Amino acid sequence: MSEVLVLAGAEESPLRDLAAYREAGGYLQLERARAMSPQAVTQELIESNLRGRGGAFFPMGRKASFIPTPDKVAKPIYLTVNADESEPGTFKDREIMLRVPHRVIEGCLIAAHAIQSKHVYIYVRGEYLAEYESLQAALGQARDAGILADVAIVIHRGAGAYICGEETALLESLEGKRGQPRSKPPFPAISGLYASPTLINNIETITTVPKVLEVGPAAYAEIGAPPDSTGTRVFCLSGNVKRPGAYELPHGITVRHLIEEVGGGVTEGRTLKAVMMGGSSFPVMTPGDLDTKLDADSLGKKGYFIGSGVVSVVDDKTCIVQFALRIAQFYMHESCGKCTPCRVGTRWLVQLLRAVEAGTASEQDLEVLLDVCDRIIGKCLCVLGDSAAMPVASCVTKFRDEFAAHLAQGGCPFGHDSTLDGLFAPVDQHAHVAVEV
Amino acid sequence: MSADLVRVTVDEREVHVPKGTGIVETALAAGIEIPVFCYEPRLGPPVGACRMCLVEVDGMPKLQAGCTLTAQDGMVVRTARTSQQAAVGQNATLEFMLVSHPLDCPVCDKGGECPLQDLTFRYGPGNTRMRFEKTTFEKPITISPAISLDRERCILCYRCTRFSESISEDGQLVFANRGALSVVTTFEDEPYTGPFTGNVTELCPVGALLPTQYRFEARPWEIVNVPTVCGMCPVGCNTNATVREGKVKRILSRNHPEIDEGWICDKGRFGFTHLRSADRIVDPIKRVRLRGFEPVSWPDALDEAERLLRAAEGRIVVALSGSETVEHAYALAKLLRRGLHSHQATLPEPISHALDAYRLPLSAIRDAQVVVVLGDVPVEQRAPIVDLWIKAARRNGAKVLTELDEDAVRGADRAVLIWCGPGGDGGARVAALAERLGLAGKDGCGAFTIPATPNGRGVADAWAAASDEEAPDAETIGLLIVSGDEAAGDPNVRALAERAESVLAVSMFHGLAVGWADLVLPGTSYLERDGTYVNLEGRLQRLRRATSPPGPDELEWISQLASRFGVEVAPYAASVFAEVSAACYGGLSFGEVGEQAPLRVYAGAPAHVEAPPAAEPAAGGLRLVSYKPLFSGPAVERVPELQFQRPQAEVELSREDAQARGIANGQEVRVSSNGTSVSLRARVNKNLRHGVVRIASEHAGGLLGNVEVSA
Repeated sequence: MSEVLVLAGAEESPLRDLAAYREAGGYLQLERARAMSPQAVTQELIESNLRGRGGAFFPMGRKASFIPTPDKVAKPIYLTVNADESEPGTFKDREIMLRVPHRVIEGCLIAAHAIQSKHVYIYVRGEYLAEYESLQAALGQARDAGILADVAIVIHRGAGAYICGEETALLESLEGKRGQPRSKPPFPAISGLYASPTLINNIETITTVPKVLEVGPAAYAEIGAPPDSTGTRVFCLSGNVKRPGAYELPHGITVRHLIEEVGGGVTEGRTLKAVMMGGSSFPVMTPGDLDTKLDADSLGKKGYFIGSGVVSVVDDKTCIVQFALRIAQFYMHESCGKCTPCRVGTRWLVQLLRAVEAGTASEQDLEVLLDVCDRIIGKCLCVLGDSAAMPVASCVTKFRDEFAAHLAQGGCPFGHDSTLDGLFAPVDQHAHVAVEV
Repeated sequence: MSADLVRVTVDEREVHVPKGTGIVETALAAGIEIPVFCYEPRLGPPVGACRMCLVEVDGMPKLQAGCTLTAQDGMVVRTARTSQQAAVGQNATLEFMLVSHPLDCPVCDKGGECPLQDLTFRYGPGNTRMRFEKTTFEKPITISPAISLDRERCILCYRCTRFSESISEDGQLVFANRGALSVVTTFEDEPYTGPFTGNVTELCPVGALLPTQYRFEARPWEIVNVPTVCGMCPVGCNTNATVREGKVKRILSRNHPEIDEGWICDKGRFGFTHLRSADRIVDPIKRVRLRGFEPVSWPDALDEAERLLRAAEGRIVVALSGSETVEHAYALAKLLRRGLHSHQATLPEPISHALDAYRLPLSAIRDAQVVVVLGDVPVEQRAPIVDLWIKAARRNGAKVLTELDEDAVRGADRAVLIWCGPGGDGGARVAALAERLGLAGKDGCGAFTIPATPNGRGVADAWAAASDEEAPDAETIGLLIVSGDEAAGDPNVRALAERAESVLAVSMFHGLAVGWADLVLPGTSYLERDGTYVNLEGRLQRLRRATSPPGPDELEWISQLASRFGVEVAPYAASVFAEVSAACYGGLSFGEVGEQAPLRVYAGAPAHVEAPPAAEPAAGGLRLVSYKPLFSGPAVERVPELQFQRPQAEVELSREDAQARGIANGQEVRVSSNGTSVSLRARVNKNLRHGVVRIASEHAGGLLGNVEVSA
């Protein structure tokens, strides 16, 4: 059996045509699901142990089971699909929307059936125009073909805010308000969109749903690294690697396998210095841990996260302070400003890291830097603050010598040789929009 | 332990609270304070933004915001007192807040009464580790002539924007930008306008939003807050008058949960500077033949007053303002009725005691299921806080109707009727309606009328308490006494003055009475008086003198004058009140009125009241409701910071009527009646009843009765 599930049929070229998708078995699972009771569909999802692909890795079936049935609430039930993919290093949802848009729609309709929802919103990142058009075209074909039945699917474009990928900020934004997270509880399952029960799933999770039904929950639960990390993952391999790309592979392969066998190894003439593992929000991986398996448990044991499936290779030409600074700048720019530690802390981190890079920092500043991270982590309204502080703190602790070298030499030891080439835009590129300091 | 109580341990102290109680309140029940900034239960659900209230909860890995948690059975909470983790969390929050805070406390008007200062002192770091540039903004920005904003001091607690969004529901204060550049701003940078804007200056926990009137005026250690009651409208919001060196510097709310919930309107908050108006009358003024008007000494003025009174004995008419205190009205009534056999008065408005059978605290509006607002005069223009209660009711899911739906009222467990209309018979009208709909004796059901003056009921009570005698209307008016500026500004009173042989006026300002009165005695403001008011709920409340008037107050000179006619009037409010109280208020003593007065039940409300005849139905055209706007009147006219709030020259039309006439919102239209017409801007109001147009009286020109509106 082919290991490619989510992107199946689109390995060579996008599978955008309804007829072609049908030929590849498309919408058969929807038919099957609709013939089943909603509870039975949810049960299959629970048995497959399909986990959320947006980063939190929460069991999708269980989440769906939290949604009250229509006889229990006097409000509509909503399904909201999160396609506000904005994390640096993450580009799998984009591939999914471009290559298998009908599978997205089919997944939505099956999930909607499971929770007895008639209203689906797909929230697409504002910058994703082609992806939006791809989805919209597929939706139009499906609608014309009568596939939607009595379910309404609305594709909504965001306006360019990373925070709107946070589920409650996404709901606020959908409601037309400022994109800022809500405090939980109440959880969206009880009071989400328009204060109604709402299931929110990442687009990869939703797109996996038809395949879970197709291979059967028991068989799906065998794929990958059971019991927790079942199934495949569209890994986002990028950075200083020979063949970057979105590769769908089962959970449980090693980081080294992905980089060396799948990606062809680190860019010629360079050596691997670190891996941005899971996404920009998580602690960086050091070369000693490359044999760790890409599943939640194996990574978790070593203090890493699978996140949104990002593996981004950082090579030896990269100054780790610039790397950390670039990440901090991103989060400062994207902090919504609602809660104090994130709003203030992310800016302070940028100022501290700038001072380190400029060689004007002291050993004491490094202690403050770590303490500021510590004072952000676990104290914010949502996880954006943690997302800024965790990678920065990991850079300082894991590459302390390189930070110390900046202090000792009064500047960057790489001089002007280091860029974030192949990884990120250079640190000064967006100076005009960043809150500079 | 009752079934709905849960056991929570806070810092090793066990408390039992109702399930669902917030953790901040739960801790308070245990005698423990959890510090907060953004948390303010009056603003609706908590937002958990500031992170000041971080606590440790057993079984939860991360620190939790106490404000968003609710009490569950067996919960174990540790605050900064017993949890090192929580203490670090709170310290961190304060450190972050101070990173870009300017620390200009010595020149900040909030300094000394600033929650950020207080909490930093108790929970925060003693020093800063921030050595980089702070975030800076242009400052201060006046978001309106009355309020200035310092964005650098702002800690982004969202209190002001939440007030604007969910209490006053004006949506004018918003956040712009994001992250560290987030700022409070007004929508489209327009001035923050509306009846309630000033409340954000009190909600602000730092010195970001401040009243411009108070800028650099006082420091907290040199002020005294005098607890009194606002005299600007019939609500009688409880207030504190901040006084420094004998001058009122600021008005603050003083939360009475049944009346105002701690909100006050801008007229009550910013209107106080009329006390120091340039045209304030400070000495008596006498008309002198051929020479015009001259200030005279108080002894001369009292001699003159005595002469005028003696000459008109039995033929004196007094026009009382509804802003007089019970005591002042009673003293004057006693002098005239017992000393001079004059029993004629024009009282501020007719009072129906029938409403006493349907009394409720204003807060009951919030809990009603059906609220019927009749009369078409905008409630927020006459009694602004009542409008906030109605909005709260609507947010709670109540049906708010402007057209009577008898079935809805009868079908509701809790229904409230509110009359806010032209004409003075609202009390009897709404009482008769309440009787017909069977609201008598039903819990949570009741009725209100919104009178035009702050103390009409108290003045009427006082007048009646002074004497039982009645006299037929005299053929001639020997002396007209015009008591207070409301009466002085009333065209009907001016008409009486035309018929009077002489006029004695009591007025605060030159512009009002000088010119047509033979003797003008300086009047005083509610902020300068001791005494009592009866508000629209029928609640007796106590005014306290915040500052001394420029001369003797009314009680003082009435007392002196009365002694010349053998009438004993004490110059002290407490003694005068005792006499009125014996007749009207069950013998309650002045001291018992209380700083936070309860709503007392009056005995003897008539069980039945005849409904006054309904207004004649409109015959052609649209019925004009010309109302006195909130931001109008002698006091408001003298406050520079309130001028931008004066009503626009516009006519409000219902959507149907506008459509029928092809009139668009904002369009210039002509409003005409009886051969006179006014040009105004149309405002289409979807909440206005079909067939009614509304115009602020100062823009209504000579329009009367039914009008026609044309494009």
